[in-house]
Amino acid sequence: MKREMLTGNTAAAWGARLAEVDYVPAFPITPQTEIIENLTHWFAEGILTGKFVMMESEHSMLTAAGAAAATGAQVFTATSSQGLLYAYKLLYTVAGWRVPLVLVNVSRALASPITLEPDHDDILSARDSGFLQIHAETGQEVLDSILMAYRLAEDQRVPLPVLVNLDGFYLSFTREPVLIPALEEVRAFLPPYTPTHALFSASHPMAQRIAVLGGTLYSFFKYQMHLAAQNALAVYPEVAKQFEAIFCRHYGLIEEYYLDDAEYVLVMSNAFATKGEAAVQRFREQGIPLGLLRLRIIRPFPVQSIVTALTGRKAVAVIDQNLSVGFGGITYGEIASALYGVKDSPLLLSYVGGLGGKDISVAEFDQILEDLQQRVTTGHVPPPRLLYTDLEAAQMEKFLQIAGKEERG
Amino acid sequence: MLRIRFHGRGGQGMKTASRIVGTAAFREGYFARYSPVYGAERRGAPVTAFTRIDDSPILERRIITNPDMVVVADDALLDDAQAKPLQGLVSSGTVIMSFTQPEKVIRERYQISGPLVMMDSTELALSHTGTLAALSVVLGAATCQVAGLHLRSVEQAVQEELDTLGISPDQVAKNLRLVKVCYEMVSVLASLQIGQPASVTPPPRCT
Repeated sequence: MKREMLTGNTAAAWGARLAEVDYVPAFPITPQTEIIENLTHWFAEGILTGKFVMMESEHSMLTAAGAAAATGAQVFTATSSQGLLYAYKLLYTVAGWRVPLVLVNVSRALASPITLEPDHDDILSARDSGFLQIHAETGQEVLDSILMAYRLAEDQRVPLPVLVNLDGFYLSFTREPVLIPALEEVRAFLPPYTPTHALFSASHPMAQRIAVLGGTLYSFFKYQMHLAAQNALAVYPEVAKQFEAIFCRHYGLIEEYYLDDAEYVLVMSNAFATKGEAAVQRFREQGIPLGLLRLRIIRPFPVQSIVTALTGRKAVAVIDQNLSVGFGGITYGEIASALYGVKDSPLLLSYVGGLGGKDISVAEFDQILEDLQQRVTTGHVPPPRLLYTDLEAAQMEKFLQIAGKEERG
Repeated sequence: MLRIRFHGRGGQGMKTASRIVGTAAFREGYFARYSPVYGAERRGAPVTAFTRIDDSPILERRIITNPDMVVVADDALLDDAQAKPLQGLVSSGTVIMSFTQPEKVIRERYQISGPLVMMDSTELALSHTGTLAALSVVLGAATCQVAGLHLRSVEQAVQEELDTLGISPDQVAKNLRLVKVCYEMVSVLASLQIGQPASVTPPPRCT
């Protein structure tokens, strides 16, 4: 075990290295490329002894990943943003194969307009695919979550692929201290994968991915996936407990920050949650009982944990770093549905912020807190608020003038 | 917390300088977090990098709007409307920069009232290593000394960072000599001391 300064990307690569994966099909895309750069070095040096193949697209990459996993190989791969969308069809296809691969997504906002910086429109577009989703806040959590993802994916009660998400730039290119566990400890937690469901074995042919005509068969397999994903809610705490026993770090389905006596709660996910934690610290110093719920396992959606954590609070602000155009924040809708009909459910306000890597400033957290306190009095829930500061608006106005578009439509 | 913002152009080594400072602080037992910002990667385009150092876990990420210290590799950036290296610098904040103009001129023109550390970075880099890539080491080492980090931590950080970049041992040795030279040229500014390094606690024992 050693403690090093690692970028989020390098922490992800270490996760794959320590899992001693058999096969990595890859295709580069900013801000994910550093993950596969690290892995290519380790394959070249013989530290990783499996097979690394550079594919010609993410579509081929995920096809290769799924096919290899269906032979019983332990597979790792990574992508981001447009790359994930280019592989979109395969997300559903491979999940239906019920193969336990791990795919890392480094969040980057989607074109258009094209950009490099993060939000979660990419990863959340895959939420209905059948891939389970783990969202990480820190480099340590990225590494640890990849190890846990294999345990979850390979569990016979689950067999489903897992997406592990980290934010581009804010985490992918940010170095922070990470404990790299010893290989023997990882082996104790994650023994070699012995496939029983999908595998290649000479003289034992197996029909996979056959066509089904008729809704009865189709519905059966689809329901099976849903029930398996639900099983993961029960399997995960076992995995987390074993992880903690070996590595002394605990990760829940959700993460709770100063929630015990919180009357007001921020709900956030991924690296921006760090900014939310700073806001909690700041308001606690002023005597305001604020806490933070960080969404970590987003598929399966941990309804019961969320309901338990939010029931009885005065007001909750869900800050979505995503935008379902024409609806609003995606996780707001899911949390509202989880709380529907629950007695003592809190006032639930929706915010959209941090799109395309836009900062969420101290002033914006101040505004959210002011809203929460006010709305408790009025009981009125406004439509989703789109976070944007006066300074940003003024800067944008200048850009519009330069572009000759000052008259906004 | 000590917040340091680095400004340069792609190729001038400011990302590496920010890593040298962060890694040196980490090796000394501090908490550190550092990250760069650049658009489409190209030489000559403005680059910004951020390093935070503290004696407790850091709850901030990325953009530093109010740095305690700014490090500027290229004084032409001081007039750049996009880069704006001095924007948001705390009052009496420290500026460390490569110079091509006299200190008095810089102070007056840019209204710098706090400590100003001027390094003849180009000359130092070229004379000791033969390459401008060593700007990262000149400004990284000067920043570490100003922040009160020990020479040994900085040497270790430079060794690690240059090894990671695949620099030859011969060239690394030249850079390490340069670290020492830069360390002797500047002095610690006590106002920037970060407090005691966090004792590097062993991981908690499982119960």
